[in-house]
Amino acid sequence: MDNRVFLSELEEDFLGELFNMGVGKSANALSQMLGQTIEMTVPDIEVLPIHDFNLQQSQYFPLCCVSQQVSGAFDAVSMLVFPHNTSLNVVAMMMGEQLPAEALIELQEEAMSEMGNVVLNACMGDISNVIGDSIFLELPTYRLAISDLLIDEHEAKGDVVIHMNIKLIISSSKESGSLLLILDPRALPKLKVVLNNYINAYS
Amino acid sequence: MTSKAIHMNQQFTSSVIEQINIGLIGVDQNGQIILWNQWLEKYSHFTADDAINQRLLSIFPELKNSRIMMAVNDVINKGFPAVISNVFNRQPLPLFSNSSSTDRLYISINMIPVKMQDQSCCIIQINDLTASVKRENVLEQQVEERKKAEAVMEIAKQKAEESNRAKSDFLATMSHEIRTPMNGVLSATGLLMDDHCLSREQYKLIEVANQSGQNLMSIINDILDFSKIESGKMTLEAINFNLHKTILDAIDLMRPKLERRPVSLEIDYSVDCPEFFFADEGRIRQVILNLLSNAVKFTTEGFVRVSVRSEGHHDNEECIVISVRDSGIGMTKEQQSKLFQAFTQADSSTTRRFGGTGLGLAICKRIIELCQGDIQIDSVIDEGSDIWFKLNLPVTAVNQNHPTASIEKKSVLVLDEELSNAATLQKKLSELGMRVFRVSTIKDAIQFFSKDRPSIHLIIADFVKPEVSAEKFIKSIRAETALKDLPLIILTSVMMPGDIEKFQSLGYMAYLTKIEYQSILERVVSIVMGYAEQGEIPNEIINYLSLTGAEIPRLTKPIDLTGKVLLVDDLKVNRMLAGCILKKIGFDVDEAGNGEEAVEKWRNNKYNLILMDCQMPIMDGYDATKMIRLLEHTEKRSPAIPVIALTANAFEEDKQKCLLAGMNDVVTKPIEMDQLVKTIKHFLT
Repeated sequence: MDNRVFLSELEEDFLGELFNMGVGKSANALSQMLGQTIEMTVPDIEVLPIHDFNLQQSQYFPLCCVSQQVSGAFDAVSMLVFPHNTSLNVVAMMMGEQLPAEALIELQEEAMSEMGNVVLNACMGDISNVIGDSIFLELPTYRLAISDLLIDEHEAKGDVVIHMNIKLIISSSKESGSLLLILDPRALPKLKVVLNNYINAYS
Repeated sequence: MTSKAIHMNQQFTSSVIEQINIGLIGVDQNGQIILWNQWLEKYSHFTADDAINQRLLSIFPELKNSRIMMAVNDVINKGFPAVISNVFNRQPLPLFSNSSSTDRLYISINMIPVKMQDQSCCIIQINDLTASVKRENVLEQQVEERKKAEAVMEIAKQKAEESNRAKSDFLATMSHEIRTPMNGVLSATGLLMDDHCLSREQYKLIEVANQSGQNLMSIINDILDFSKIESGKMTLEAINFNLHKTILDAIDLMRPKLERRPVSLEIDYSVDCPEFFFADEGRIRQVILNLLSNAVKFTTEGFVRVSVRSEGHHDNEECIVISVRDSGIGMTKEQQSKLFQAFTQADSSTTRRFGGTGLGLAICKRIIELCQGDIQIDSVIDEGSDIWFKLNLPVTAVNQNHPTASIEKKSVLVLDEELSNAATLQKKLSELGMRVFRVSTIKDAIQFFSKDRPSIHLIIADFVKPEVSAEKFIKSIRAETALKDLPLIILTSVMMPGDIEKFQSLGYMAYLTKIEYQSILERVVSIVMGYAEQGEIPNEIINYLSLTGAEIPRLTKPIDLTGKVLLVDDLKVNRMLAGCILKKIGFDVDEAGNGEEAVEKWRNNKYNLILMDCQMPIMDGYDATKMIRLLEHTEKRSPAIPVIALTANAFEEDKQKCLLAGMNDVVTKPIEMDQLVKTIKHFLT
């Protein structure tokens, strides 16, 4: 286990708050889009080296991942990840109609891509605002893979992961997934400075 | 890059933009359209000239406040790309499959931010998904239809199961409802037959009543069998049996049905055909009875003949052909073709004339098929029918423990008081190569010996009243020293309980009923002669049953069982009959009319055993037993009292239901003394 402290508690709280705002906005956007109430929260946040990070208990668990490459103020990969079955549930609930499993699987990629795009855009938009520097995002990429494959390349680079559990409530059913920001450790000090500027300005 | 190269590059780029099979719209930061490629011209009803420099909302006014416009703003203002999927945004742009069509395209949109001359612009990239969406819709529709079809099938399946359940319930109920009164008839006649005060005539009548009851039971069983065959639940059981005797029994059962019609019932059992087999006698008898019953029903004069012959053997199996031929009304070819179908009769008018369920031949065919055999019909209208079946049956040897001897040229004296039988018997014995002498009274017989005393090796006696004459005759014979060890065979028309013991104690060496002797006379005679030659006296009287290994019915002896039995049944007649049997066994009997009464009596008295009917008002036998088992547990009463179910339901599931309720065993009604005693003994000793 890497004992370096990546972010102070205050910084983590603040970052968590930023993401909460982001997912809140995206929840609003999705609610409007789908004409039904969708709630999203990020109850906790952790920052840790990626080699200490386990997305799922089982490395063979299939995951559905939408990622968007981040560049500009810092280089990172933003990801929204749901277990495969959960993502099917989420799509089914978002569609709000009874669809056979075969049809859901057909729609899964498109639907998750749009949803991931909305959520990640909103979160990164808020961070961009806070940093006061431009952040560029690429179009989302959709992948269905086991957890190890999703983070393998980042592990090799020794990246750091900012991991948040994301809670999603749609039509009274609760689902959870993960929101990840995987970044180069060298980008972290920059993030810390920006966060502290902002914290100081508000305290 | 040279200006030429730049020019070429630009030309190439714009050519790609125009030719590419996706829609491309460029929007500048003022919201004005700066790019509208050919794909859009084709599908939007607007040319590039119409669109360029227009605001997106002017071209597509319906996009006001839409997700697309918000996304365009975000792309331009924040520089974040956007995905507008077809899933959450059905047909978001008015794009059509051709210029005159009103069918909107299914599309997905990607929006990408681009910088052009320091301006933030948005490229809207439109992908046509119509073909794949239609494919999905077809798939969805198919899934939907499959689900509907499955739902319909599920309903049909449930209905079928319900109707099947109803059928089973009906069969169970019917079987119970018919078996209950039959229980009364059979038990009562059975008890009467045990009464030694009856005259032979009365005994015969009671036996007929009992036999008819048993036949009725077998009809009920036939109906149950048919449903069993239909549901594939029928299994075969093999036992050692004498086919010749089985057929003779069947013919004998048919005699009363002739009702004085001039029809002769005949058997032609081929000499080279074995008699003893290991197979399902019950089913074979069932088939023969069915065929005979039809033949008798449809024959007003002439004959009904059962012929048995062998078509050779392979390994230990004999290929037997049994034919039932009659001189009855016969059938047309068309009628014959429908003959083996269930609930079908040759002619609708025959149903009125002759009655019947039309089930019999269908059962026969299915049973024969189950036995891997074949059944066929030959028939000519107004001449008669011949229904025959072919079976491969494993042959078994007769019990060969007795010494046997050659009987050829031996002399036999036949004492026949009824005369009518004597000729047949004489013919048969002559065929066996014996010298036959006939007398018709005991007096003549004694005289026969006192006169010339020819060398006689055996006496066969057939008395009108054997209970009177048998003893008198044997005393006279044994009084003569020379005749002291002469083997004696006694014939009788009806076998009475106690006969075997009585004739054995008198000294008769063999005992046969008239039905039996035809098939095994030769064997019995040679065995008896064998003993005679060796000067031995067999331990047991030789009879049909001892030869076939069957259990010999004996006079009911007092059984060494005592105790107090609680007899629970809602029908008084059943309590009376079962009570008689139980008292005869030696039990003290207490009665209860329903389950509740039974539980009450059990709590206040001490019993050794409970006989529990299953279906009763107020509280049935299952619940009563469950209650008793519960009370035994809670009140710590031990040992647990044996509860034996009395049920007219013969299904295996009924038995399981009894055992599940906590009963120890099941006795099927009508109650047979032997079965009851055997079961009770198991629990009380």
